[in-house]
Amino acid sequence: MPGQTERAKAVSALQKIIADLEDLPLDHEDFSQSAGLFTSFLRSAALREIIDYELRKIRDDAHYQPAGSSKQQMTLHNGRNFVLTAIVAKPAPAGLPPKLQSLNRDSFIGVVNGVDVETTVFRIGAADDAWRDNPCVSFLRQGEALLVRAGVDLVHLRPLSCAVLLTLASQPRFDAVTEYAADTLEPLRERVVNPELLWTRYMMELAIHYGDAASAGALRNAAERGSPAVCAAAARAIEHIHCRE
Amino acid sequence: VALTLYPPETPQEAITVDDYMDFVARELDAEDDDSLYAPQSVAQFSRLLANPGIVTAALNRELARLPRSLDLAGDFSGTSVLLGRAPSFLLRANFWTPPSHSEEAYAFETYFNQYQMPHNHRFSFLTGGYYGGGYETIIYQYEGDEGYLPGDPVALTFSQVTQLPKGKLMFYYAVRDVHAQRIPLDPSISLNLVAISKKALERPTVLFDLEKKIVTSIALPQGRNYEIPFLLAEQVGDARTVDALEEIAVTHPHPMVRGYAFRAISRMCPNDAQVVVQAALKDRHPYVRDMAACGFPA
Repeated sequence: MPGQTERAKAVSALQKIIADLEDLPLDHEDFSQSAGLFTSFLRSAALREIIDYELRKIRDDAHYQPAGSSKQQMTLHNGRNFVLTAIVAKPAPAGLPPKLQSLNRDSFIGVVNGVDVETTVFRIGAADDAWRDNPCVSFLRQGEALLVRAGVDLVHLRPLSCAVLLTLASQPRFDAVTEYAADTLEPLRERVVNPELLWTRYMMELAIHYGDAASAGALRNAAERGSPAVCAAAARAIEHIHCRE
Repeated sequence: VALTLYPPETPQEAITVDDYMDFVARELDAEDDDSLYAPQSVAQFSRLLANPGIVTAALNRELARLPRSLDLAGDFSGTSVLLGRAPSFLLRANFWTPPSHSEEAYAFETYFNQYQMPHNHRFSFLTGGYYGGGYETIIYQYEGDEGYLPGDPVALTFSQVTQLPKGKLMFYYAVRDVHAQRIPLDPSISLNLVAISKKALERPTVLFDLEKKIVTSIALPQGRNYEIPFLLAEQVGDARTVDALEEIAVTHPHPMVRGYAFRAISRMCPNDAQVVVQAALKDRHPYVRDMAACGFPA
């Protein structure tokens, strides 16, 4: 992500958590090991320092664009084995039926500002249909964090007003999430959320038409380590390159 | 109106991106459109288009990053890759892919590529077909008033429908050329040399409804990417944050960024909200004045 290294160097708390997290194995079974690091980052002044850094950059350089930003979230760092993100979460507009959804990454979700967030979690990965009878409803308060497991938990967050959340997420375990109706707990739709997928498609289209031996080597690595969709796309592109050559 | 350009008829030797950017830095002036479509500039751009290895090199740089991080970034953003820079110029490759067949992906990818979205550009640029059959585009022109707001009527005049296949070169004027790309039949790539003039920094991109001949919205390129630090600042900022916001509100060239800064201050300092509104009502751009008049809506 362009600009993220420079930003990490400028904010010492960010630099420290990146270095600490990159030392940890953050596979599915080990992800909870990051809890302590994440909580202390959440409770520090790091986010304000990052925002002040971004505003100074915007003030001093008219060409500057904040790294990793989209409309309601800012990727603070996209590391080798994790993604750290700040999110502005507003209450859902009145009249919208609440939905639960699964996540495609293991994620810690924590509250930065003083806004309480009501959380509802169902552990669907646990066993049979019994999960439907066991919602865990609680309030997440400033400085507190919740672990949501990809493919295991269904979650609904309801901020009481405009909440600032920090999330620490693993690399994608899945390419899609499933949304469920909060009242019937029936699945509504599966939604592709892995932002790499569209890029992957562009990359693979390019590789198919323009790739050479060096591209095939890099794609082989991607095929071994990427998410399922990335693996499939990389394998297809390698096949095209070989056929062409 | 957008120009079709004709390179020398004798085949020219291909040049590298570095050589081309050296030429751009030496010979072209971002403040002078004439220099961009002068014969020498057209000839050099044509030689760059004749280099078949440019996109492969950028692709391989990006693919080498994939095993380390699946977040494609580096020089890639949106549907383009940055190939080179010179003072006040950017060279980009843009990818034009037919959308996927699935309904959801089709809608998203059509939006992502901004197909069939009539728009102008805040900058003048040279463009050339590098690969594939290219997109078809419908081009209009207008007088290019930079102070339009959504809903304003615009005197758009039809100019042409044309295509950008491999080897074709065109020049688009900042602001006054309005075009909408149609979905290409096959994956295509174009190269753009973008001239970031001083005025380009202050201009929003304008989106139009060609049938109703009105402005539908205005946006900074990547405009929404600027908003999130200001939204976060409203929630977690302190007095020092307000100092930075005040400077941005007064000095930043982009009207939307100034608007975000004014809005953040008014929410962080509710006791001073009226003073902030009064200051924003004196801004030089109608976008900011409009935000202030509406009480800085979300």
